[in-house]
Amino acid sequence: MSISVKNLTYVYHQGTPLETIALDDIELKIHTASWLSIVGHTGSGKSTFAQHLNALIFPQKGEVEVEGMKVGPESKDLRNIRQKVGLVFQYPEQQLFAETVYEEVAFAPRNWGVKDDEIGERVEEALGAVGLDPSYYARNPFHLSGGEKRRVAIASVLSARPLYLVLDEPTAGLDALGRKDLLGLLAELRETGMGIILITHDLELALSCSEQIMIIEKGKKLCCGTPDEILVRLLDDKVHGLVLPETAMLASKLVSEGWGVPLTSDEFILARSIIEKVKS
Amino acid sequence: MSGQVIFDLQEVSFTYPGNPIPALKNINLKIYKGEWLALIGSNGSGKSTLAKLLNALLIPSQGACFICGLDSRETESLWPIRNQVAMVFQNPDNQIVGSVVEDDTAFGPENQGLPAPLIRERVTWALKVTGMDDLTRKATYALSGGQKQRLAISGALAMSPPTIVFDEPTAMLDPQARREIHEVLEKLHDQGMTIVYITHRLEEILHCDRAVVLDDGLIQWQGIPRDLFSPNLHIEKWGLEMPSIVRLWSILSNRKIIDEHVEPDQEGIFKALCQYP
Repeated sequence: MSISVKNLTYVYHQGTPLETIALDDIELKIHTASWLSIVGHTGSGKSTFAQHLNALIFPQKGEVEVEGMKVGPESKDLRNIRQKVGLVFQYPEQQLFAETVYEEVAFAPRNWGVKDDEIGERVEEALGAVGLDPSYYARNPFHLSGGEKRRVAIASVLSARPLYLVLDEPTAGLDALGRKDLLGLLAELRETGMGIILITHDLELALSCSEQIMIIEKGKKLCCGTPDEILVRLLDDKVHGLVLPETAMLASKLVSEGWGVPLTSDEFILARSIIEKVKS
Repeated sequence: MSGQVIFDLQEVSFTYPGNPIPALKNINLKIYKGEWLALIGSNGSGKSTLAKLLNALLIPSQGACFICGLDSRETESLWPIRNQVAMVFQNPDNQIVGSVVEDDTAFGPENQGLPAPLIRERVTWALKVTGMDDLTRKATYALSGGQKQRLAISGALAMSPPTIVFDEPTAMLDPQARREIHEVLEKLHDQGMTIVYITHRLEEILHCDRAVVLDDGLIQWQGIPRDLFSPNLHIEKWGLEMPSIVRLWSILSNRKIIDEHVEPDQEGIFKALCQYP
C-alpha cells in the first residue's frame, strides 16, 4: 500500500521564455498509516508535487504510481486514483458551495456514483471524523466560523473514503486553538490508517507533528528523514526561506558553546536538559 | 501613557446586521501618537471589527469613536479620517490595483488629488521605506507574497498618513516574508508613525509598546507585551498560544535558571545562559 514517485520532473511553460522547472527528478515513497510533511519555501514546487499525487497534473518525466495505478493521460484508473487520494487545497472553505453542510459533504460520494442509502452513512462518518455532530447537518456552511468551514471542507473530501489525504497549508489563517484542533484531527485520521501528506512552509509545524519530512527547494528534493534528522541537517545547511524554530536555534548555539544539550525544537526536552546541566 | 490621543473609543459596541450577538461590547480604548499597539485575539474575537472602526469603515452601533478628534458618526468626517488612517489587510492579492509597482503605489495619492511632482516624491519615498525601490518598474503579478504585501504597505504610506492599521498582514506569508514586513514596521515605528497591529501570532508582538487582548468582543487584558507571557495569566483561556521559545523562557525563569528580566527570545536566553561557567 503506497504511492511511489520516481524521477518526477515537471516544467511549466516548457519551451517558452517563461519556462520554470517546478519539479526536478523527485524520488519518494509514501505509505498509508504515516504522516509525511513536504516543506519548502513559496515557489519551491511543493504544490505542483501535491497535484501529481491525485492526478490533477500528469508527470512530464518519471512516474507516479498510486496503489500500483499509474498517473498519466493514458491511465484508465484516474477516477480510482482521485478517490484514493483526497486533496484539500489551501483555504478550502473558499470552495464551499452547497446550501447545507449535509449537501456539501454528500456531493463527492454522489459524484462517485455511491448509492443513496450509503451516502447518508458516508456523510455521517465524514462529519463525525471532523467533530461536527448532526446539529450541523441542516446549517448553511457560509454561516459557520472559519474553523468550522474548514472542517466541513475536509469532511467533503473524507466522504470519498480516501486512503491518503493531501493537505496544502491547512493551518493557514487558523488561530492557535483552530490549529491545535485540526492537527489533532489529522493525528486521529493517521491512527485509523490514513496516509497524511501535509504541505507547508512552516518548518516548526512539520517538525512537531510528522514522522517523515521531505524538504524541497527549487523543485529538488533536498533531504528526507525523521524530524530529528532534518533538524540536524538544516542546522548545518541553511535553506533559503526556511526559518528554523527559535528553540532549535538556541539548542544549536548552546551545543556549539559546549553545553551538550540535544538538538531539538521541543522546548520541554531542551528545558529539562538545560536545567540538568546548570544543576550539575 | 501620555501624549496626543489619536484614537479614542468611548463605550463602543458593534453589532452586524442580522446577527443577534454583538461583535464588540462596550470597548473603551485610547491609542496615542507614535504608539505601536498590538491587538490580539483568536478567530472571531472581534479584532478585525475593531480595526474597521478605526478608519470609519464601520461606524459604532453604540458609543463613539473619535479619530484625531473627528467623530466617525459624522459623514463629513469620513474623508479626513481616511486621510489620517490607512489600512493594510491580510491578502496582498486583494489590495493591488496597478499593473506596475510604482503605478500601484501612486494610486492613493492620485486619488487624493495631489500635484504630480508631489505624487512622485511620495511614491519614491514610500518604495524606499519598504525596500521596494529596486523594483519600481516590475509587474505586480510577478512579485512574491512578501513583496506584494510590502507593495500594499507602500501604497498606504504614499498617502502619507500619520497612522496605519495592519490587519494580520503576515497571515498569508511565509516566515521569510514575515521578517521583511517586520523590518518595515520597525522602521515606521522609529519614524514616529502610529501603528495598530492586529495578529494572533504572539511571537510578532514582542517589540510593540502595548498589547490589547480581545476575546468575545471584550477587552480582556492590556499591558506591555512581555507581561502577557507571565505563566499565571493563562492566555489559553482567550484562545491564544505561547510561542515555544517563550514557554522555554517561562520554564527556565520559574526555575530561577535565568532572571525574569531576560528577553524571552533565543538571543536573550542564550546570553543569560552564557553567564554560567
